[in-house]
Amino acid sequence: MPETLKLGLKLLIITVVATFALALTQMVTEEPIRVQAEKAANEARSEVLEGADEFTPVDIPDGTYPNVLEVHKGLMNGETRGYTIKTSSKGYGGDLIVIVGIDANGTISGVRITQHSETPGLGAKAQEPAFYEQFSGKSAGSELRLGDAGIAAISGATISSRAVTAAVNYAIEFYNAELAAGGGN
Amino acid sequence: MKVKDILFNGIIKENPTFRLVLGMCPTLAVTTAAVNGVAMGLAVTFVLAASNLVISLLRKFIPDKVRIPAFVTIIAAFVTIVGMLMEAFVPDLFKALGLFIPLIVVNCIILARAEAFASKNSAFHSLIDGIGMGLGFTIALTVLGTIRELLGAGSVFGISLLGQAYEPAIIMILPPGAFITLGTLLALLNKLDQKRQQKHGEKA
Repeated sequence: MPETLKLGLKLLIITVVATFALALTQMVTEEPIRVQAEKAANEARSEVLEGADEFTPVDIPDGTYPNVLEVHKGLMNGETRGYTIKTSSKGYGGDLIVIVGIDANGTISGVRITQHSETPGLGAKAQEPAFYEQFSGKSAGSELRLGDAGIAAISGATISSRAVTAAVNYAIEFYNAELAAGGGN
Repeated sequence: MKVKDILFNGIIKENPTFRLVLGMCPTLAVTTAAVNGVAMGLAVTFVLAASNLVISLLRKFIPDKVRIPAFVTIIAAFVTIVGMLMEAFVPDLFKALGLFIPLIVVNCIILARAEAFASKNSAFHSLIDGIGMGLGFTIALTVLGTIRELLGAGSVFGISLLGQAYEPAIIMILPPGAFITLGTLLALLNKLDQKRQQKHGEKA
């Protein structure tokens, strides 16, 4: 057998074995990973909507809300506690993903930044409670504005602060248009 | 070769970061805080020890002429499998290290040790070499992360040390801070090494 063929064959064996090992791992881990992801997502949701322990997805009308990524109805013992709305907006360093909880009374129950690429030490401070707790307890009746209604921007990170506020407002907009009237089923 | 020598070779004499200057991408990118340095270092240690072991076991089978693609395939497959298993069965650990696992695929320390050590030595020695190199990397990253976090955020491992009066030098946790810290440390270590060698020279 020519040497080149031999080398190719050995390399083929290695790649085939590697592929099989990967495929096998994928099969074994697919289900646990899905369960874990689901659990983690539910944990994030119950963090912004305290009391709810069961979440059912709510349909988002096609094309109308480009910034709304996911909406879930939060339930406890079958009773609606409110909604969690995941939105995205443009931050300073890229997309910013925010999850907003709005309770049954139309009050913002919590805001968390789940993903961001803001500057460490500046915009990344949006992840700290000192900033995001400012939104809790505010009414979701109308749009929130940075500066008034007790929401202070992070000094040196106006763009990041605005981006979070915008993301919260996308959630408020969706809530008022689709959910506030008792819809969302 | 003694086991102790192989172990300390990676930690001190051939420290991958400070002596070999390998794997600079994760070194510069993740050391914004001390805890990140520890996490990245431990993830690399684990993968390095295991990949060294596998490569060493296969060293008779892998033809010399195609060893690099063979190593790359084995390492990439290995890292991916480790990442998937961690995500599925130890989610808490994955949460802490998950971000760093894909970065390890492109970490040249792994390939360098496969090439320089594991392909020529016994499985046991290769495993020890992987652990030693990994620990050396962990220590280096932790030192870098500690310095940058202290100057750039006033804290170490998230515990505030310098108090409110200290105005953090944010540049230290931004990319330039990584280069400044690494450069200063390398210069310092080279100076120390030079002095040590001069002393040895005088004695001899």
